[in-house]
Amino acid sequence: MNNPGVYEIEMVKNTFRDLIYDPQLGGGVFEDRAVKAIIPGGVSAPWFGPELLDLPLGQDEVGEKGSMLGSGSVVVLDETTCVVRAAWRITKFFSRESCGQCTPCREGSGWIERAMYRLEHGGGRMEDMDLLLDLCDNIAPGLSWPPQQTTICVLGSSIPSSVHSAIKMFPDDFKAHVLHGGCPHD
Amino acid sequence: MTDVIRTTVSITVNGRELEVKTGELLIDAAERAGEYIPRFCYHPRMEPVGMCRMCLVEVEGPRGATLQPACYLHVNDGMSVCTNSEKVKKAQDGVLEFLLANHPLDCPICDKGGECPLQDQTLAHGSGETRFVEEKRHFVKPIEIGELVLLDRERCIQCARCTRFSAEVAGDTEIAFSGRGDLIEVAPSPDKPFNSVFSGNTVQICPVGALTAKPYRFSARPWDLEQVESTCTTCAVGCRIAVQSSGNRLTRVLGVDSDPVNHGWLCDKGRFTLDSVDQNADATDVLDPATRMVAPMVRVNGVLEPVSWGEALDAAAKILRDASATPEGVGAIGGASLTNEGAFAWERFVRGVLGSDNLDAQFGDGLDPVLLQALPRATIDETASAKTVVTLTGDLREELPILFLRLRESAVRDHHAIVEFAFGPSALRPVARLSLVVRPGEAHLAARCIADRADAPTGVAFTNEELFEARRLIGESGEGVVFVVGRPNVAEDPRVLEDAIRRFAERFPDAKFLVALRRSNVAGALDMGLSPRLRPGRGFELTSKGRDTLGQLEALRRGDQKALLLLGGSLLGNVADVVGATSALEKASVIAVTGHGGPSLAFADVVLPAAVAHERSGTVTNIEGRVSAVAAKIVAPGSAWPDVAIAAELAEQLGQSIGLTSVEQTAKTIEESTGYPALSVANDELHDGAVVGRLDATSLRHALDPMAFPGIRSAESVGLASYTGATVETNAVDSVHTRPATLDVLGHAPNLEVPLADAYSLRLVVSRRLYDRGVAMQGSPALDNLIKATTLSLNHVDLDRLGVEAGAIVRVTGAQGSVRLAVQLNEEVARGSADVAFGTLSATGEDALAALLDPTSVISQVRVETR
Amino acid sequence: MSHFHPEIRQRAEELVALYPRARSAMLPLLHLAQEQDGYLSEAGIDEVAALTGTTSADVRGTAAFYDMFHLEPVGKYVVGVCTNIACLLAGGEEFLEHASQKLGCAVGSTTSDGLFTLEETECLADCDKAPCVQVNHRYVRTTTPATFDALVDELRDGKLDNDVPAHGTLIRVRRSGGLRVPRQEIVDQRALSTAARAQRAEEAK
Ligand code: SF4
Ligand code: SF4
Ligand code: SF4
Ligand code: FES
Ligand code: FES
Repeated sequence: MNNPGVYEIEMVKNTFRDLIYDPQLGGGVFEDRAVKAIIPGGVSAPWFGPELLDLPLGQDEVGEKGSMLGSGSVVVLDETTCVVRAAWRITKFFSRESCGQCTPCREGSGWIERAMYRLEHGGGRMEDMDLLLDLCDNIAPGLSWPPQQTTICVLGSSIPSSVHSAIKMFPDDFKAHVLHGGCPHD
Repeated sequence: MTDVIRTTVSITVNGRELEVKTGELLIDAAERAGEYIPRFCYHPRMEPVGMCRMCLVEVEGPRGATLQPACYLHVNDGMSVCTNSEKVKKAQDGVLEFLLANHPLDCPICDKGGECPLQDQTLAHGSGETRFVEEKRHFVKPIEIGELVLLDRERCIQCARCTRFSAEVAGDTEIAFSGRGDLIEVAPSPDKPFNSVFSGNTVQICPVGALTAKPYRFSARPWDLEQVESTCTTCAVGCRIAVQSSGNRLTRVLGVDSDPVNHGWLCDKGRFTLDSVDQNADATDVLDPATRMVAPMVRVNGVLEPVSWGEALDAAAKILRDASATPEGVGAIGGASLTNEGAFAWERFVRGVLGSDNLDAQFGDGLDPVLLQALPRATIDETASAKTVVTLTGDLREELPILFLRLRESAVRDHHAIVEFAFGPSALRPVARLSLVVRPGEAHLAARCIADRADAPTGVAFTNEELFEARRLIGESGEGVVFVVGRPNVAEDPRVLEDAIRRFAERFPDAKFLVALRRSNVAGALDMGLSPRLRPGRGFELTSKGRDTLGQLEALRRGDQKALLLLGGSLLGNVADVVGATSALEKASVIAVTGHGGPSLAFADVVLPAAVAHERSGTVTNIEGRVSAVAAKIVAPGSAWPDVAIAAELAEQLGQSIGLTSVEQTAKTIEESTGYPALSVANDELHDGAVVGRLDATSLRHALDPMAFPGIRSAESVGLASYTGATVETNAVDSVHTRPATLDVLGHAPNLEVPLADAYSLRLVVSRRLYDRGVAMQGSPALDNLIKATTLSLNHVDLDRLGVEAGAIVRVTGAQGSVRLAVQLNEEVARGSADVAFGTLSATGEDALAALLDPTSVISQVRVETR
Repeated sequence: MSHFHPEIRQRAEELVALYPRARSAMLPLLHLAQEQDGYLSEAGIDEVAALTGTTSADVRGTAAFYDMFHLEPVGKYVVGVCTNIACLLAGGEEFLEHASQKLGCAVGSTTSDGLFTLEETECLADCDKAPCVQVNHRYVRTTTPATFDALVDELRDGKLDNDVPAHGTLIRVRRSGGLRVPRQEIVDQRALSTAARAQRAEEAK
């Protein structure tokens, strides 16, 4: 972003586009790059594509589209971003922050993180996408929104959001990682 | 008018309507209805945590069916549950796969292999192929976290069973989870190893091979093991156990869940001292308790030589014949380590064949058995559910460990009040509602003050506030109160405690008593009449002039008694006055009937080798009067015999008969002649045994959920009849034939002269330790390192007064000599008194008690010199 | 006998008195122990256990859950570099790599002079100033390798001793004049509310 920062704006009256491009607010994407995806409300939230830029910033509006405003921290992934790396890092966060009580969260986050790392660093296999989706499904059955839980708190059911979004929205990026034997961006 | 409280609710499980107990956990309700929900972390004897998520099931709710952990969910009326849908199966398979992700491929080298719940579930449900191709988590392989327990962190599935046990059940929290996420590990504090006396339970309930017991490691494979159910006789709680052997070698003891007694738990002494039974084939020194007696022996030219049974019996008969010219000339001491059948046989032998009333199963370290028999008795369950429990005992964790667990649970979970007569350090202190401090020679005064609503006399350690609170908690008639009575201080005249007990019994007629004498089958031995004024089946002969142990030792010293039959070899390890006992033995002709060596055998003229625990069958009786079966798992070494056979043969040798031919026939005789339920439980149809004199002698054998108690084969598979939910009727009688004693048979209470303490002396408390130098411990290499040298424990006030630092070595002088001891600070020791451990030696190997005990006085006093 | 210095010990006892159950004071006490020793020493843990009526294993287990508690000695300055998503996109990983080279120690370890410990952290809630760096849990807002190097040099030279106290120091919760609310007031207040609660319970019966 040109102007990363903390902004107080009125709910629903503004859209994601306003937030990102208004010179008083985000001021546009760094070097005028295109938006590849937005994380609408913290790393637990499923991602949106650029087609939803005109969605109003409101709880219900975002909820209807299958995500949440959550903490209100909007992260913009621009066209140069490697979504595999981004989703890996988010999963690493969950893996490090898992308290360790519930098996699906404790073990699932670590497993997904390690598999994503492998994909990013050249050990990817085509079947990994299905494997990852199935592991996500075993943590939050149905991969619906709001998620179903197998864990005691919602940290567990937040784990799948980024990986599931990345695979669903950008399967070609994953395939490219497999074929390229690592991250094509590097 | 009382409200009607619904005790059941109805729920639907897989379309089936069930009536279940209000508020119980779904996982339990479903299990009883035959729907077993898989699990790892849930344990029926601990609070649920919902860690593993293996028990996820679908529960209908306002937002449709959601996955919920069945172990963490209390049933509600109308709850609808599905345990077998595709969604449930996928979630459970997913959890299993996650658990295996970081789990090493150790099965072939893992001690748990063959009885591993994780392995079993994986075989039953796992896909057979792993999708996990990443690097697994690595830890240094097994680390020693305590003297007896090893931890393999790679195998841990973070179920928190061990840590919950430590915090919730044992209450000592010596291990806890450390770290976060998939790096969680079980850890003790680095400088405080996991040496809890309950540590072995964590190994037993660990659902994987993460925790292993050093003594058992790699010693056997589960499929080689055979098992019997039996009763632990290491102390008098009488925990139910499964004894396993590989061939004729004992390999393992596991706790079996007995509802009225041990809830599946064992102390480490009961669990791990099995090596004292058969691991010492090479030990040959007869003075060493580690040595098993494998052949009869006779002293020839001052040395015990192995001989045939014929020769030994002949020699023994000769001694007895010579000495029993007068009935006063012989007597028997010991018997607490016998079964009821063995005790009954020896009672018949001593009274019937020798014609003597000189016999005693206690070593002068117990209480007046007539008083005990006259008390209204409480069971362990009644004690644990009493609104107020008053303890007049030593530290129960050291004396009767599982009773401690039961009482602790009742205080912590059910908020029952514990009123402790605080004689010294006690593990119950943190959970006791009131600790009434009493120094040696004060317990009876405190009891009188409570009973008579009197003020505390001057100079005593307890206060009026404490007395007031004690009275409040005991109430007017003692209803709902149980007094737990034992022998907290062997250096104090037992009449002090007996007087206190009597006061309470007379003043609070509705109170009950749990007799917490600690040694093995001492309750059964007394019930079988091994005491001058007792007769088999809790009968009495109050006119008896027979001698008890101290009386016999005295008579032996005087020369009035010539011969002594030692039942069990541990006299010198158990009397307080070792000096007096030694000089008595020196004068006596001694016949020792024992399975173990021991210092007393230095004086034995004949040794008759007997079978010991796990080698003999029969029944034993625990502190609450519960008769339960012990089973023979292995064959006794060499030519050791069961006691019934030895007594019968010896009688034969004297040209008489005790009319007993086998253990079973002895049990039958006991039951027929006295109503004591020996036969009813002898063949172990009654898992929980039967309490003497009670009608509620029906029993439910718990299904042994292999998840709750891995490693124990179910009752069914080891050939025991009853199983889940089956109720077994017993023909145990409602009361025994003989008239129960009442308090008025006791006559006048004696007048106790407690010497005044002078300002320079400390009153001596000699308290028991679990890890002492008794037979079980000394024969057990596994536990050897846990025996601590005795110290002199003092309150800081006395430390300051004496001007010594904790850790300093001081000279302590008592009635019979002096000894050098290290000083230890312990605020739980009453001011003006000093605590020394019974049955352990000082750091320099001296026997502190021999020097410090004053056998002629009501209390012993010691002086401390700092230089 | 006490491992805590008298002033720390006194603050510890005041903290314990603030809670209805001593155990609840465990985390603040751990901060105090860390303030004294810079990390959680064995003796510090034992003292916290004694003060809270728990065991050392329990205290250690609790402390080990939290990243801000250190069970092993750390440097005078604990440097944390965030690499979570916003910082990652702003070059957090490269920044961490640079920090490691500048300090001369691997991530998660301490320089040989014992001055710096380098940590990779999760989101520090300063995402708009990414990549985010903290020293002893204070934002330092240096986002370029050059400013980072200058900061390290100044710390090394002791020029920032007044701004960045040694690791463990709890400036923000220190009250120079003791507790703002006198302890007695808190104790009295609690007694009142306990009594009120008891009365309500009594009335409810
Ligand atoms: S714990 Fe069970 S599954 Fe794990 S290695 Fe041991 S036997 Fe195999
Ligand atoms: S060591 Fe065993 S009992 Fe303890 S948490 Fe790990 S798996 Fe569970
Ligand atoms: S408490 Fe007593 S009966 Fe139970 S295991 Fe320990 S020694 Fe055996
Ligand atoms: S979560 Fe229910 S058994 Fe583990
Ligand atoms: S992601 Fe680094 S501070 Fe938030």
